[in-house]
Amino acid sequence: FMKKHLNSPYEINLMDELTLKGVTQYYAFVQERQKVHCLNTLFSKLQINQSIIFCNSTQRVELLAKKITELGYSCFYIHARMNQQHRNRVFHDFRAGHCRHLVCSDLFTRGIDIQAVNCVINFDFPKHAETYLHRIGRSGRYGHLGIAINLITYEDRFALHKIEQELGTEIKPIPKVIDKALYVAEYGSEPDPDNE
Amino acid sequence: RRRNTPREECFSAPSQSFLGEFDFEKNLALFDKQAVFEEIESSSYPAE
Repeated sequence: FMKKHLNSPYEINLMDELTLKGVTQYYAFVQERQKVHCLNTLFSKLQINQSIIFCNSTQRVELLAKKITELGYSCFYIHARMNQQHRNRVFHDFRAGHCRHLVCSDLFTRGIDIQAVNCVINFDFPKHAETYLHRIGRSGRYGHLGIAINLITYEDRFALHKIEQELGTEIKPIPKVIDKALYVAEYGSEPDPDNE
Repeated sequence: RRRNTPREECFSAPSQSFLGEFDFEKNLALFDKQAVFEEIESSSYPAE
């Protein structure tokens, strides 16, 4: 069908273009009530250039963004219930580097293609492998440097198992010290001349 | 649809309670991933 009807098609936005290659994936085991504390410690320990933090509902996006601001970090947020124009504006400003952290629900359908984002945090672990891949996966146009940190509760154990199986990947326990070469451009093997 | 656990309880604690460092290792020790996965694989949980 494809061969017959498409004349040298230019393909975009296909699942198999997203890759987890080069993204180091960790999990931290937490209880629901420890999540914000855990996140706060991650912010203080990691060398984050820009980060995206995913929640599983629009309400939780708003609550978390408020909390992060209370903690003294600057953040933007976007979720599916905001109008498209507002979303575009926030996303544009984030991409331009006006803010370090972006809290959001699942509205990226192409994976994240912002080069400056070196850390993705699943504040809420997703239920489906496809969602996980869209959140963590890179489209491959930009360097493959980055870490993904998943906050896992005991209730997430089935989803964790399922997603690892379906994606054929391994999410490792977060180590005491995370090697900067895994996610900080100037320490890595893929130095980025535009960064600085 | 959602279980009746207090899903929002992570947002209710005052910010002051987060000043100390979160203990990753202590918490990781509470979850034996290997054992939990073996249990999942060996039991007949319906696949969602």
